[in-house]
Amino acid sequence: MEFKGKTYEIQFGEFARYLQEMNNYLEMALPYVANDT
Amino acid sequence: MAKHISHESRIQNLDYALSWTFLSEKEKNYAYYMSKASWAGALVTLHQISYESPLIWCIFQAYFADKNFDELEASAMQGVEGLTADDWSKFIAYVGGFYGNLSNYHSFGHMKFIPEVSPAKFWAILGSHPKAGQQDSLIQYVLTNFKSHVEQEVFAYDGPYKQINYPHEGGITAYFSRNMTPDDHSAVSEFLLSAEAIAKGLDILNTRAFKKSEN
Repeated sequence: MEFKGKTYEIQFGEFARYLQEMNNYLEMALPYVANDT
Repeated sequence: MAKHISHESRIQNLDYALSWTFLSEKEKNYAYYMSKASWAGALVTLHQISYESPLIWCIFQAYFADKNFDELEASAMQGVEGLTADDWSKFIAYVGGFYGNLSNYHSFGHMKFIPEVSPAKFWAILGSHPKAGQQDSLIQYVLTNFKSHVEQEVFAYDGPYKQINYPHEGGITAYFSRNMTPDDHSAVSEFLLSAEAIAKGLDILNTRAFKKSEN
């Protein structure tokens, strides 16, 4: 995208594989949390 | 911050076997899955600290994959010419420091630390792994494919490698490419804080920038 005369090529998800695995484990932890969800 | 990790630092397993028995099933499950989540997310840190950290991590993971610590030590002591018990301790101290900081930079102070053994001995220890000669082994794969990409960076201690900082302030960072000027940093910061960037879901705290051309 353009911003003040510069072109920015944006890429998302660089660490998505790590974070997907992390989220999977957090979801598996969810039934065992002590506080209300 | 110390240039080397003291080899007098103790490395020991956390003894939680007894404490674990006092937890309920619910608490055990919670602790287990949170631990797994923490480690999965922690690997992002390697990429955020230095160019070489992910590859060093892979090399150490391959070296210790079989959890045969005594065998590794014996193989190194027998296979590396001139290696002393003190050298081995210093090698292990570096590895411990690397895992403890999840990079080759101190997590407090962001100064670099390097192995206290010579480059020749450091790589020879890794190459002394009992499976290093096996064609299909993980350790041979990482040493063949990764070593050449990081062997200078592991030991480089002069500027800019000594500390994490903006390149124009004499350091290195994994967040900005080394060809970026102070003006480039200002332009990127202004962009990332703009309404347009925020609308795209960008956050200045977790976005890396690499300069491909002047514009």
